[in-house]
Amino acid sequence: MNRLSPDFELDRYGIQIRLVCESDAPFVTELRSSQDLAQYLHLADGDVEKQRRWIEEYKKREAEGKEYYFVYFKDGQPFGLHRLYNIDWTHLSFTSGSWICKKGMPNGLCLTAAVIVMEIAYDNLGLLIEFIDVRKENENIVRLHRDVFRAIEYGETELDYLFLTTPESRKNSRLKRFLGLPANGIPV
Amino acid sequence: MTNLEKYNQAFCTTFNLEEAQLAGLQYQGTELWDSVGHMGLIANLEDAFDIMMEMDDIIDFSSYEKGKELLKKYDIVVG
Repeated sequence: MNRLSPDFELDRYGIQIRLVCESDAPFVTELRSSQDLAQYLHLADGDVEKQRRWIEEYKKREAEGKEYYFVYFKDGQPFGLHRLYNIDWTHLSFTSGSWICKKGMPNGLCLTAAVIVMEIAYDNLGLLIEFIDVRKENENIVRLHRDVFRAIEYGETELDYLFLTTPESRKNSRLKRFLGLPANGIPV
Repeated sequence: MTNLEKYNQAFCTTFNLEEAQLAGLQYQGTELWDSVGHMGLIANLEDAFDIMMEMDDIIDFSSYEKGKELLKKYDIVVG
């Protein structure tokens, strides 16, 4: 089992990534309480202290290798979040989600950051199967998984479409084709 | 299937449109042709014609008609 250390950092493709810590609570709260950005995620109520306590609890799961929550930085400024959770070390599977970027960030930057997190999951952690639940109403992200990521749609619930990716399916992904796209903003 | 049929099918599938709605169609001219839809369209066209478009062409692909013009660079003549 390849766990990440609490001070894990990566600088790749011009983006810096590290694990969330309690001092990130204001940034996490800002993004997750934005009605525009987080409408399809669990909307935070804007309480920074509550978020800090959530991160404190998360750190315990992180230490056990159950969950990793990342912050993306560009030129020293945080611009996004991404989380790997439900990590199953027996089946080498995980769920990815809570992907959110500040408004106005270039599409290519948000996609590149997602690529880096997936590389961490596969290359650093040695995980193989990714599960993704996407709210049916979140049409942009549904289309992104179907048309660009080329994820396998394996089911649905009342609220979500259920996708997965495997090493084989990822060969069909077009994600890396679009990393150079300029600003427009992907409403994740 | 002709090149025109493949080209139209990529648009219709990606943007959930009828062929009659394609002439004159521009980026952001229909609800689904936004930044995410644009990536889906390019991916579907690349599959249909077995090509890899250059990033400049992906960015320049601003309309149904402009796309036909750009595909000529890849030896694809669309009707």
